[in-house]
Amino acid sequence: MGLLGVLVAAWADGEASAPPAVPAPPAEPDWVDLSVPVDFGSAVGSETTDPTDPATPQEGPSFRGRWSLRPWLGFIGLPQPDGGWGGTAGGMVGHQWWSLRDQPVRPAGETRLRVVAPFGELKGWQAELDATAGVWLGPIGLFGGPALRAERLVWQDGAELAPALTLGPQLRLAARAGPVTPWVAATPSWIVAGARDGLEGPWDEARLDAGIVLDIRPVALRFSASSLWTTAGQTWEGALGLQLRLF
Amino acid sequence: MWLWMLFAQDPAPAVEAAQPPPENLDDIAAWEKAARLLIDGPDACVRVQGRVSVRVALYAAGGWLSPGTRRDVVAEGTFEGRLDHGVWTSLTTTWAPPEGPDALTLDRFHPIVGRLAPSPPDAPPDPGMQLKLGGSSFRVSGGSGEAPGLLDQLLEEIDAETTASYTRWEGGAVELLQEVPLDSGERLVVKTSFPGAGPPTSMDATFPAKVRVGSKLLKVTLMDAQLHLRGKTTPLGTLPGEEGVSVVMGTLGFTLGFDQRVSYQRAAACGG
Repeated sequence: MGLLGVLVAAWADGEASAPPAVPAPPAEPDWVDLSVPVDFGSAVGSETTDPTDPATPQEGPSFRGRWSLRPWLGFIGLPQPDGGWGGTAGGMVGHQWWSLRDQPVRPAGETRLRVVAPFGELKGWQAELDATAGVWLGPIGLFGGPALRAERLVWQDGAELAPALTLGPQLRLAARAGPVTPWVAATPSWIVAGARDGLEGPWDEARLDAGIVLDIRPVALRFSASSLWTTAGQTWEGALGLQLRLF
Repeated sequence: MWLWMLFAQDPAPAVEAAQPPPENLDDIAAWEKAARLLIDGPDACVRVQGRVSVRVALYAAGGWLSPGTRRDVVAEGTFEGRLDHGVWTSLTTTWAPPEGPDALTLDRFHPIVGRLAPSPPDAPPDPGMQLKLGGSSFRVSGGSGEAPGLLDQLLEEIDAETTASYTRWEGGAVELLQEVPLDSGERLVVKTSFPGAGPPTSMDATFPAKVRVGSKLLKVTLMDAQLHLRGKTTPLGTLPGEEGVSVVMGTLGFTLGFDQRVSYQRAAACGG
């Protein structure tokens, strides 16, 4: 076999021993596009829908309300030279409502009935019913509504806040700054029943409240203080609240 | 057991459309059967891919000391599944790792379309949905058994004895409306639309704005509960395109929202 024959033989051999063809990768299936326009909303509102797309309505429940029942423990006193002090214990039942929608103006409100009995150097009772409604404008909350109050307090030294029922408007202002929410409230009131004289001036009695809420999850701490001006003098009250906040 | 009360009368006459209504508009049973195309998926085997997003919204109560805040925990992922004649013989989801201290973890999601096949006996138990908020963890649900689509499961749980169905011709489409009475006396309305009297392409199930369910001791208020399904007519049949299930729930003073959004992106014939 000459050189040519060797080459031809090698070529033929090479042809015969060529590696088997690599199997072709499986063909990509014929995909069909399934995208469709989204024209429905969600109960949880704008967080899941595209706010820039007018075709997606922003839906969801507008308001939510809930009842609450809370124990109450406070301190009350009459800072006069012959005054005294004592504690108040009782409970508060309330209903609060608020807007679930994330909007610039968010209506909210709260109705509370608080009934407490003094102890220590004080005797008597106190009951308050107030219903306020208003709006949150960003971090500022402005609320107003009627407040009804009835009480009788008797100090150990014989001083007495005679039983009476008072009614007046209540204004509340709150401001949220992160986890801190300071607030103030003012309630001028007029005696509508009872054997108590009123103060000289445009209203019979007046009350100022102030407080602060510290939201340090999983709890929220509430401190509040109030001062009540009556013909029996100026009484003050302080309270500490504790609320479990899971969310 | 379902006792279907069929009404062929249109309670609210539709606006005259250019296209005349189909002759079989009054054949309620036929439209009910056709509506299953959307709920069950095509009478074929298809591979589908898409994206899923599950959101849990935690609402804090508002009032005069707070406007009411909201905290969302989201799980997002992609999925690939095999819908074989209405049964998900496989449905695998790849969830994105959670960002931040809050996390929502779940193994598989529960679609409206199709029926979930039971997990293989040797498969690890499904941990269900777990919500982790900082250092606290809550188990929301679990289960790996066979399950119908979400709408069918809801209807099974409502277990209504009668359902009123009727059709109407509205804007060039047949609309099938099925009203399912609830224990509260209100109705769940399921509306399926068949554009041009062709295959169904949209289904909306809307509960009353507020429904109270549960026992006397533990009542749960469901707010704005809704299910939506949009489909697309393709050479492979009528296939799902987008799903949405959402509700806000209130119980014991707590308020939670749930939203599941499934976007089917593409499909191919099995083995293709």
